[in-house]
Amino acid sequence: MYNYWGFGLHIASEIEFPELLPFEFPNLPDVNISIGITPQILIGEDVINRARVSISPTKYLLKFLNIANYYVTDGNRIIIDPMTGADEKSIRLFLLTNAMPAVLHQRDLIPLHASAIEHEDGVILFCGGSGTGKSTTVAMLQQKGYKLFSDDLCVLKADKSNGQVYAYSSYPSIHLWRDSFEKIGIEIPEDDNKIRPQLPKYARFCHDEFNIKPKLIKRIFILRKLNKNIEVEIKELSSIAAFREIQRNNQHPVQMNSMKKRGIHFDIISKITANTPVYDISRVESRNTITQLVSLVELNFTANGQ
Amino acid sequence: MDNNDIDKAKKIIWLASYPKSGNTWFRAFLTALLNEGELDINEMKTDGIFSSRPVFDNFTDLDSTYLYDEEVKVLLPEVFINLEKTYEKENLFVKIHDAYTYNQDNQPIVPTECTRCAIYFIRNPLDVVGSFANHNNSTIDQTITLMSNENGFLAKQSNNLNIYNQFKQLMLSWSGHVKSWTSNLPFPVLLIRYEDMIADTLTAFSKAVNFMGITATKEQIEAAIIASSFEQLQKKEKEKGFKEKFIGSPSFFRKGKAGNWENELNSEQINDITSIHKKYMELYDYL
Repeated sequence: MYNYWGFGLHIASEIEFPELLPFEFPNLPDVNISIGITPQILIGEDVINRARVSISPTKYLLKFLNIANYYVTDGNRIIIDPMTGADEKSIRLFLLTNAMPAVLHQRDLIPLHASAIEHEDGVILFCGGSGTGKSTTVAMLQQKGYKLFSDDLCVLKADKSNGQVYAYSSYPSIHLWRDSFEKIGIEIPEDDNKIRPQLPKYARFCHDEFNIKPKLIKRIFILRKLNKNIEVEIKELSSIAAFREIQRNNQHPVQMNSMKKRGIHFDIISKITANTPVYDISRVESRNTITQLVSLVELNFTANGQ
Repeated sequence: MDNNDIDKAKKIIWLASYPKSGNTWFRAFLTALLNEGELDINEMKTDGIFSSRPVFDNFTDLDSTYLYDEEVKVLLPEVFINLEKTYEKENLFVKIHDAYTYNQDNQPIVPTECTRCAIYFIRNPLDVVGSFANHNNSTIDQTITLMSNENGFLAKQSNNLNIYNQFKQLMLSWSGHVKSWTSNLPFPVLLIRYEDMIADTLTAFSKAVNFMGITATKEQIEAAIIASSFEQLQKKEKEKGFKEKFIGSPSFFRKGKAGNWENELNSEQINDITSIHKKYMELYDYL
């Protein structure tokens, strides 16, 4: 059995996850990952069926083509049923991107589609859909000396004692498309680092400088690429606009709705937008403007302070 | 199959075409028809495009940027079968530029189970070239090459990246595209020539409305045609822009004419197109 820290949880797994942080914990794990037989279907009036995925408030079943079936229950158990011949990287990837968010939702935690860097005593979040430059931005800031907090997903949890929302990182790895390495001027890794064998996206691990402590969210940037002839534009959003934009960055709306977690999303996002400055950064989609974006971001959070 | 076979219990009506063949004009017309003559070109009332990544992600709970294209093509039919069951609307109008092809499981990427019918818009390839070149901000010769490529794609990304808002779409060549959508498909298909849409809009659009099984009076159709006239579309794009336009392209609604190729193509280019696409150009009265 392998023991890890990931997504703010203690994880015990039958299969090895180089992506997660090896971690010994004295008590029982929060989540168990095992190889086994998964159900063919979920049955019940509260089950929502989509294309090869079925979800109820406490159960999640994803049947991912020739890779694996994943069955997640009660926020503490994942069973993987790998298909014959499936590659291990793909099996691990869809557990991290789908089964783990299901675990989080089942535990009343919010998986937010965001990358983040540490800044002073908190974190700065970069939200946005796939391809908007979240990972490239934090990778470039990392090159400038900032510490990576999380890539692609941050786990949000409200502290019941003080009502503040804290972010937990996911795991110590950053995923970058091949062209991102060129954009930020760092060497493209070996093919061994590809996150799937045929995908030009690579993992950069940062286990040695990884922070597992929850952090307060100090500032949020919503990244957008537009089909407009602009370079990079920044504007602060009103609380209502900020709420709408953060809600739109829910990576798993089907999970949220099927598991009946809209109320928790609403509560946590409301708390964030009440106390945290949120900025929209829009830029043209057809040109490389990452340097201007990072300069603008850095100027914003250093000039405004915390 | 003809429209005697239409099953109105099935909701999806595919608005299929090679790019720049009248699809957007027809969607503007439908928007006006479904919206009592009102038309905002940036808020079309039709139901998106087959290659939409957000729709796919929402019906699979996957981040499709992690998927291989062949996996996407296997899941797409299931996405639209599920979408059709989920949506409460009676009719779903979905634009598609993909050719009618088969995935690695040898299943059609366009699912039959949820398909009521398709309207296939065809336009003289000599006119498509100039319009498509303008749309892509590419040259006439590059566009002729793309239209002749039996493995031609729309929205293909360089270096095999996978982040665009639309999946790459296998169009085949222009002839391949026409052949794929007109070859005895398992659902009714109405072919409409762009040139006939221009020559007698009321007849062409009335035929389409009837074929799709939609109830509308002649007056409603006429009002929608006026609201979506080419001059109106151009005016609206000039006033407020059009979000479907590529950034490098000067305008989406360009000329809206048939036969403008005579002013745009040289004899060598005309010869290239007519020789490569002779069979289907002859079949649909373009030669």
